[in-house]
Amino acid sequence: MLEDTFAEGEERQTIHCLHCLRPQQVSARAITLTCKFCNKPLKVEPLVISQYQARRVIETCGCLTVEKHGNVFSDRVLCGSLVARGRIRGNIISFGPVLVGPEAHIRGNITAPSLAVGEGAVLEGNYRIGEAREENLEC
Amino acid sequence: MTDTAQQDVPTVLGPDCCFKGEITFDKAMRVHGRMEGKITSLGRLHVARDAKLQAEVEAASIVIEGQLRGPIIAAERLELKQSARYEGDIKAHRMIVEEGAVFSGHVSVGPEVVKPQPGHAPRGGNGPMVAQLMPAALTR
Repeated sequence: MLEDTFAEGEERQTIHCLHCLRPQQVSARAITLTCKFCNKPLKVEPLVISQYQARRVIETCGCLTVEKHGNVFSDRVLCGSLVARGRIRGNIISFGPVLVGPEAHIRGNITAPSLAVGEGAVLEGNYRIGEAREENLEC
Repeated sequence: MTDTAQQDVPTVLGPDCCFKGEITFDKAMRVHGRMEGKITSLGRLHVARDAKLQAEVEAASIVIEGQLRGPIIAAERLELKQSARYEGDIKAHRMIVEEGAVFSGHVSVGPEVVKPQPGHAPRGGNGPMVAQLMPAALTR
């Protein structure tokens, strides 16, 4: 069992593989790892974007934070959770809560288990909140 | 339901009520039963936990705790509570979603989203009612 490989007292976190969607426990200090089910590489570290970034794909099992001056253009954003304070243009699939700050602008589709929207945020897109994600993984 | 709550919400569609058609109200309405059709108001609409609606809704403030299917225009505020199940397109000035709420559909939220369109004359009958009678502060 993977759990046996943890050192005694080591902090753990549960992540979902972005590819096979299966949950697994990993060390809280892990930065990158390989999914024990599908053997695909995963990034676990939290990602903070505070300036303009255009990327085809943004993937992390950790928390993605787009700061106030962050401006993200991406075809596909896959993350463990999302905190949006700036601008995002792209389709977002989050495995955890999506928190949208009052000054955030998000254009694109969002699939997430829960959503919190601050007063004044601007949103545009197709949303699926609180439902199964499997069918939406093909962006 | 307490007396004060009843005074706050003058119109209540009871749990054993099944309504098909169009409803217009001024202040507030709470729906507990089933409804199919259209709801238009400048006030507050509360869709209670046991309610099942299939309706086009236009109101200043909408709170959903039950099930609703159909397009929504909320001139001021839309609130999806924990038990809400919603399917349809949302246009709202502000939106609040509690954890546990389930919804799917196209979302447009922001101060610029809900405002009268130039083609729709305020005096005429074609434009959305909320847009016609919305406070001027919201249209700036």
